[in-house]
Amino acid sequence: MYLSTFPPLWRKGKTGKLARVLLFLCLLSASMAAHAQTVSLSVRNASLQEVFKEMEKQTGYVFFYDSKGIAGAHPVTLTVKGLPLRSALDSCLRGQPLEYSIINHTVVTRPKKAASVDQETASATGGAREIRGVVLDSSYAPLADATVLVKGRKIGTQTNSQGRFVLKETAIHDSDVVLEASFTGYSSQTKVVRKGDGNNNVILILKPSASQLDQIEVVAYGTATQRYSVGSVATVTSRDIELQPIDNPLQALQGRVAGLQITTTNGAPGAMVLAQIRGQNSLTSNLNPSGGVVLSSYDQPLYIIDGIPFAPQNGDLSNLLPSNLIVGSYTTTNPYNGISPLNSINPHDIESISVLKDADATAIYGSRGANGVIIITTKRARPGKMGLDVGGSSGPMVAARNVKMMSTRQYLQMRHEALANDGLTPSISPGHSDYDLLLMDTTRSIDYYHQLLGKTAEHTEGHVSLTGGTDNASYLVSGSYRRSNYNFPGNFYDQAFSFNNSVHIGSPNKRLSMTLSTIYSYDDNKGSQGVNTFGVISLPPDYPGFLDAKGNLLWSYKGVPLSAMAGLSGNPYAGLRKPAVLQNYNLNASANIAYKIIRGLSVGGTFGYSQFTSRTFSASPIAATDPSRHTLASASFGNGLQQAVDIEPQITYQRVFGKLKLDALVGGTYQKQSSNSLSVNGNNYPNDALLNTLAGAASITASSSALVTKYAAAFGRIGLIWDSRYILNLTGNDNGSSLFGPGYRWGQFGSVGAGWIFSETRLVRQALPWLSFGKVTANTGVTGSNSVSPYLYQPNWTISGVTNTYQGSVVYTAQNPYSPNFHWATKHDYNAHLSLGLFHDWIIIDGGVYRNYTSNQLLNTPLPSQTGFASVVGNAPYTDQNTGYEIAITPRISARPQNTDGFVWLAPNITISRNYNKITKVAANSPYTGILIKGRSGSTVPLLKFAGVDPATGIFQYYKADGKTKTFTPNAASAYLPTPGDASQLYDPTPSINIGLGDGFSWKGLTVNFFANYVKQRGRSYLNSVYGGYQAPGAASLNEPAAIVGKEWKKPGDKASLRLFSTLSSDGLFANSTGTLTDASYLQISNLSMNYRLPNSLVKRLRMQGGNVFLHVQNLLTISSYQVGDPTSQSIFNIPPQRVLNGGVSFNF
Amino acid sequence: MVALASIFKLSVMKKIIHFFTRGMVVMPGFVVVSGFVLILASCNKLIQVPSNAGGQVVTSQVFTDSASATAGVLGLYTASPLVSQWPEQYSGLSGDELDYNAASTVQLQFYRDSMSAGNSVTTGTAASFFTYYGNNAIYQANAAIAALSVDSVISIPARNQLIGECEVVRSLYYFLLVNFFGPVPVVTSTSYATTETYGRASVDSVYNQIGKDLLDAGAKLSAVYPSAGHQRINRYAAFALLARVYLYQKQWSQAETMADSIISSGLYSLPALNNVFLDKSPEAIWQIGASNTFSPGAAPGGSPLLPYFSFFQPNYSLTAVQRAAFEPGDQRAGNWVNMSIVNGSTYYYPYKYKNNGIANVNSTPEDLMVFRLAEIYLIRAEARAYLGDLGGAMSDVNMIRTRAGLGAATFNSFNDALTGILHERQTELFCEWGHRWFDLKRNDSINSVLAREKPQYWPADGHTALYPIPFAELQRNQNLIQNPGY
Repeated sequence: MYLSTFPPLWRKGKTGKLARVLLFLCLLSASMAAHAQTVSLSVRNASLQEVFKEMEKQTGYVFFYDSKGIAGAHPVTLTVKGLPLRSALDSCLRGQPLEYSIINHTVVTRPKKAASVDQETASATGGAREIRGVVLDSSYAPLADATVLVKGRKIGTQTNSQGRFVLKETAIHDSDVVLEASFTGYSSQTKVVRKGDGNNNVILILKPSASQLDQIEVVAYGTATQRYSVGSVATVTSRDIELQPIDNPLQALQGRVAGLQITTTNGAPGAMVLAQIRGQNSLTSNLNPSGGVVLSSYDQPLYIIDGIPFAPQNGDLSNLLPSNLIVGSYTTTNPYNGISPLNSINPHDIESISVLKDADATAIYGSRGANGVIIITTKRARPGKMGLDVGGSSGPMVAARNVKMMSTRQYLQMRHEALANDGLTPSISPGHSDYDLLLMDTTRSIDYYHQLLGKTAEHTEGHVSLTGGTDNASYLVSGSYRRSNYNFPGNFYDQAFSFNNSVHIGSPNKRLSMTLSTIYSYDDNKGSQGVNTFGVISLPPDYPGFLDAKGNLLWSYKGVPLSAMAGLSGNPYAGLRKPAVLQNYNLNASANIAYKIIRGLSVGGTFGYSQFTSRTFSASPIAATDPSRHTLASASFGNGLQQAVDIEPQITYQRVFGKLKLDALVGGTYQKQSSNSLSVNGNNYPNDALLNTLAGAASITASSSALVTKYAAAFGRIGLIWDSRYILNLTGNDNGSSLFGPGYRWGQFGSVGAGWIFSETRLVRQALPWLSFGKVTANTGVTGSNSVSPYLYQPNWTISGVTNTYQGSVVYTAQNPYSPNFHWATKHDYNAHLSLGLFHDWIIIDGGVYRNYTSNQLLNTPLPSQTGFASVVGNAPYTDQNTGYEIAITPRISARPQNTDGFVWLAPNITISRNYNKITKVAANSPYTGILIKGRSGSTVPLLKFAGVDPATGIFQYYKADGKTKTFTPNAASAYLPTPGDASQLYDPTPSINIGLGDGFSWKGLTVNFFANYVKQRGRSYLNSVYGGYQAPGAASLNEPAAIVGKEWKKPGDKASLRLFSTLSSDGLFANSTGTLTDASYLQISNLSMNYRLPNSLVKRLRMQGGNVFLHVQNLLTISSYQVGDPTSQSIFNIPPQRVLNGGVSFNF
Repeated sequence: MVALASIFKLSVMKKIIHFFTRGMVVMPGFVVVSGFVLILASCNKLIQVPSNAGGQVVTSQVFTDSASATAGVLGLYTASPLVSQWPEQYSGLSGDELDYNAASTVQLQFYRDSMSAGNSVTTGTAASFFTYYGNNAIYQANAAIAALSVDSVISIPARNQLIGECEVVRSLYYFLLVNFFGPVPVVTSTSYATTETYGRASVDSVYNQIGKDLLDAGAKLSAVYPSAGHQRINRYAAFALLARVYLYQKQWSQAETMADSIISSGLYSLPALNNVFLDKSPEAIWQIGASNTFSPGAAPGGSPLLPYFSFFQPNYSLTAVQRAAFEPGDQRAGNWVNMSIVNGSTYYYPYKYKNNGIANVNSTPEDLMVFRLAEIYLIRAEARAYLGDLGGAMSDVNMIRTRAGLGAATFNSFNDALTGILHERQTELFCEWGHRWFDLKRNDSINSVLAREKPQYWPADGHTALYPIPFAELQRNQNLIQNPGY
């Protein structure tokens, strides 16, 4: 490996400076690099060239020299054995007009300074017809496949694997030429080759770009940079992820990606976190009889980890539990409470998360791409000296916004008021259970909210990783641990271990490269079964408590069973004695292989396997059961296995034809996903000690399920860049999916995108010198949304074996109507972007607008029950449109925390997004008429218009459909129920605007960063929780938030905001009226991190490369006019979102 | 090879044509992938999955052989509509059998005869209409009949038995539907695309369908029960429903003939009152055995008409009218009625089924009675009365009275007989399958009786004698027309 010509480093001016830089660098590193290599030679009168060749062979170092320059060197006669390279070079260059430097693994030989002038004069007389040169990175490693263009001419080429290039027929007779070298992720470099300098040896050194535009981001089947992208991709990297003490990687994206909505369902460790890109596309919804729509399927993107679709995606794992694992949710209406599988991916192991938002970015995924794609890439092997990274942090975790419930004094007042209103006196007799007033110790006041959720939990994490290797073989091995506790009293936690490794192998000739990545993780969520948070929080404050002096569950108080008092299953604390354990074993293995056949053409692909195994165990011991019920113990054992096999061969072709840069990809996908589950229930155990085995069960029931889906696709992409200015990107996908019936399986998808980098024009450059980058792009495309369960195209019957028999025989149950003709919903997507880089890309402003519509909606259309089924899956002629805008302001990398000593204010990182959802086409005569309304958002909920509290009677009133007539119902018993038209107020719960803002400063070793979110939205107030059931304030044994005190109607004439307290049920309508709507906008300082870099002197003394001490705070502060509870979760009975303070250290060796 | 080539050509040609009609957006991308497409498009095999890989089978596989087909038909016996016991609850509340003591709006609407079509009650699962058509019950019967009516490896006698069972179940559903709602769509096909637009068929055509099914079932079924006990349908189950249908249709002589054939079969007898609803009751013509979806003996929450604990206030209690109907000395008032005293008040509740699955886990198993001999005697009595055979009517009624510990009745006139028979039906068949509600309706006395007994609730126009078609059904099928008054 050698370079036949050598760079004119000695030239004055710019390159002279470069030479000095080189020299400086060589001083730094030469001593390290050279002593390891030895040379054994025995030559007589050999040319220097031959000697260098031999040395290259022996040492693996690359020699750069000018063949003409060494042509005049004396022949060498030398015999050495095991001599260090440096000494060997000294020997053979002794007396030669040459000197050398060793930089990393590169030996640069050049004429001694005195000779340089002669050389320059000599070359001026040249005039060859070609230009040769080399492109190196700043560590002098050759850059293969870098692009070299002659500016202003239609000539260009690419470097070979040694970084060399030849521009043939570049006759430089009459004028100077400007060469421009560029490479993904690096700043372009230009170089003037002077008139007549033909056959010169041009060395172009590219520095990694600090511009955000040149950061490499992972996209579908490859990488790209923002500079030449025509689609919308946003990336959050480990730099931002590591600042956040979080459990679920999706939480790291909150507010940081314009157009991405992250919803944390509650504050339980491991709780479901939902992501949605650019709004809901599908109208899959349940017809809610009271007139609302409940989204039964929240569109989530496709999750890909290291190139392989994550087998469980982001589905709720609690479904695998035979009995519900309640992770702190009171309502069952939200189907997404539960445990997220992504919890098994440790945020610390992630290098980057790419969010693919529009057609250009996702069309290559075909019918899977309509809801966007999230690509998680784990940390990769990096060549270099072996480095060890160790770090850990720990800290407390508390509920961010607690709910203050009534004290006993307030509670008793409410109860007496309610009884008086109903004309009752407190009584303990059948039908009257005022134990809270007559039996309990009314001088006590216990805060049960605090008893259940007040515990300060802990968040701990630790990691260690080892990385290093050479260009040809590098490795990364890492292990990490993460643990979060529940706020519940007792030892409940979610902990995860993960073991990652990544190996990169390249053949010495750089033709073959292979990256193997494996993630193995184990997540253990030890929760409890059936903790009814509502039940505990609502206990009257004089309730006698849960445990006796010995710590056993209390079942009666003063001889009265607790079940009679609380109306619950006796002791709400009993749920905490019923374990529910979910253990996940996640294996993600992938191989990314590329073999270069000829220059620019390589074959390879991604091959991988994702396996997600879940084990569940839940038990109901006798000790946790009311002894008066004589219930025996039971236990459930569940097993779930979700697998994805993914085979994706690919061919890529990259060439430069003159000014045209071509980047093409064709590939195929074969993917098989299967999901199996088995659950076994053991019943009637005689002894709690046997609960962990089935052997102790007196009877056993079991159920199982299995699903298989296959997907196959051919896909392709052509990227064309002309003259670094004009970009055209075409993608196509033809795929088939077993989700659909024969004849409806195959479909075609694709996109066209184009861009113009107008800042490359002379006019713009001259007129707007501060504008370092300007690009307009537009793209359009078609993708598909295939969110449907497998096998629905055939008329299925199931046997549910042990759970449904007749006279001992199994029986069949019909599952679904025969509907063979449906296929994916089609999404058409139109996007336009303007990207501006200001002041040498100090800041990049990217603004985009989009409009997409999803037609031929794949709906679970309600059927009249005469058909035998409530609904059928099929395509319905509805169209749902999302329009919106996104603005992202990103600073230059160098404007972020740096190891500078002075005060640096960091440029802000801002995202602003707003999405408008609208139904643009509805079917005539549909069951959804009046529910899915043309011109309205698909998530609209019709509500009754609240008409206030009647001053005369103190009860809630609502307007009827005409908007004038008031109507009311004293309590549920009067059974006024609105007709559908009455719910005339359309409420859209989706946030209207999301803003994220990150900023910070660094001073000396200290770096401070913060990130804030602002969300503007209408929400449901705490009153929705208070009046959500039929229970209302005043009912026996039901405590309420202190906030309602004094708001109730007391006597005729009162203009109160809440109805009179009553022991009777409420009307149940208030929660579905505008009376519970409130502004739920909030500004949240979601992250504050302070990092102190240990001083160099200390680091050196400790023999480290670096060390940091940090404090990370998650969910620091929420500013909101939302009254009670957390505006992010909007329920007072869920485990509230947590504030996490983590302090820690990290060291690099 | 030729076959392969032709398949290839066909699918590929289709694909190519498809591409170029997709429009400008998609086309350019395909220039790149067309080569792959040609290979893949013909590779349907890549995405082939076995139809039963999801742990389910398709209709045709269910009815392939005798054992599997039987399992398909047995599904009807555990289907929730059959075992929901809602006719006794809701018609009991709407009529004059039951009072309601709790606060659920579902039940309150029925109790107050103020059902509305547009609320969550009648749209939801509590709704009769939805319950009967939905939950696959009629669909499964239709699918089974269609699949078993074509030639297969299943023997003809086996097919006849299964088809007969399906026809009886289907008829029972339609009988309940037509009596609760009036005209209803008659659906005998499994194709939702066809049946979703069906409007309401006339009462006569519903009864025609029922009659046709039951006669066919009577011909196909044998007198022998295909399994242990009387838990599956035999010929006399078909005849029992047929007798009831003839009675409702006022076809007295056919009603008598049918009832007579059951009684004279000698298969059934009248046991002591407390044994009537037990498993293996000799009175049962068809009783549904305990299963996981229905088990009066062990269902969580128990029979809906029983209080949770004996000392709890029952949600449903017998009305004063119903209790007054028992003559002095009627043992049914003691054996089939129980009471709980709560808060100083006494609540009487139906106690035909005694086991709510909570308090008495180990008591004698009970089955859900569908057709029993007592009703057949009363059908024959009524038919005979109309046919002028007062003596025959009297002896039939006295069979029932004797068991109840009452003295023999004497019918001196047709009116006497009719009053006596209806009275006996009220005390014998209370809180079973809506008998009382239907009796009031078919004798056109519902308005006068309920206006007298429930003056505060019964609407003047008596429109609630027909339940409303749920609003959601009207929304989903524009061809359905609401019953008058809603």
